[in-house]
Amino acid sequence: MDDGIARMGEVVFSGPNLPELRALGLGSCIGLCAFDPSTKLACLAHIVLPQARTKDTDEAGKYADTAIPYVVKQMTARGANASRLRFAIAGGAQLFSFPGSDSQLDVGRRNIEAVKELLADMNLKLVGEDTGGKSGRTVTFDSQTGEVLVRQAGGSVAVIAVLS
Amino acid sequence: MVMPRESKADNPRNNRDTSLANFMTVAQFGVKKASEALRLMSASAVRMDVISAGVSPTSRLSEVAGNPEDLVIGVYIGVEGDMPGHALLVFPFECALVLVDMITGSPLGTAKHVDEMEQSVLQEVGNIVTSSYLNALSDYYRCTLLPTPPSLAIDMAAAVIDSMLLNTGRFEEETISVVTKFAGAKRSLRGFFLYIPEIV
Repeated sequence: MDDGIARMGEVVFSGPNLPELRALGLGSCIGLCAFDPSTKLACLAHIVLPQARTKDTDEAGKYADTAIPYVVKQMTARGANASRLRFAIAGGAQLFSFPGSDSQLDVGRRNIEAVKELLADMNLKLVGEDTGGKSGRTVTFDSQTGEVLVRQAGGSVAVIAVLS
Repeated sequence: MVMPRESKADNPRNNRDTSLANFMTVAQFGVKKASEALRLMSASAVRMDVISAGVSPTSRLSEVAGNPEDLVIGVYIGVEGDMPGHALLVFPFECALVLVDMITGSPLGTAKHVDEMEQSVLQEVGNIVTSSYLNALSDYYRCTLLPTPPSLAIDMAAAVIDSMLLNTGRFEEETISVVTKFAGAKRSLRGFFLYIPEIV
């Protein structure tokens, strides 16, 4: 669907008629925003899990380790320059507390760690983040201004990064 | 195939049909039991009806509770034992308040916030519904099913459901689910009971 909304495992790109991208109600998932300031091309990936079982998955957007290379490749193919790309991330919350559960089950935290490690490994610039905690988040990404706006459940709204 | 981890199907006395189709029949019976328990608990004010049971795309499950950003109350109960699974009750915020009033027998409009007392009522609803449902399953499959203590979250609908799905430890393209709607006899009451068995 071309409504600029990244659903679970989806990657969406801005376009002439699609200046705003959104990911609604992220819990443990991560919303990864990528922006090329000179072309004003914006991309939002709704990452679900840290690691794909196989690299040749046809659902590249779902896993951190396949989504990030996919985003870079797609943005480059659309005229962006990989070295100019700027990133922001939001999400990775743990809504439920599981008595007796260990950190293995904290998918939110594992997602955050995986995304950050991969961005660092690929020398990609992470400019802002709003991660962890216990609340869900909605990300709104404006490709005109490069602003990444995060609304948390309960109402607090903040610009977490300006990627331009 | 949905089967207890240590299959007892080899034993002729336990020769139960473990096909998916049959699981859905048993699950619907479980919901009927849960509905009966809830009616007892609420003096016939609340009942449950199965709205869908089967295999559906996982990404669509987050739409079960309606608008992804709507504020909901989620009660999660993990299921351990021979046939592990995950149970989640989801109520839109206002409906959770109505439900609390119905269960406590208070005039509608009494509960205004979800504080400690309201939380424990909703967790208790989760316990009653889930254990009645599990009893029906364990009777049929003759296996042990143990619910974990309930965990409650007040958050956006999509966030609640994605957290539950991710904590199942797996996230497949398709998920077996039983989705049940709650209904109030006198007042409109929306709510869902979602059960996802782990596939062995």
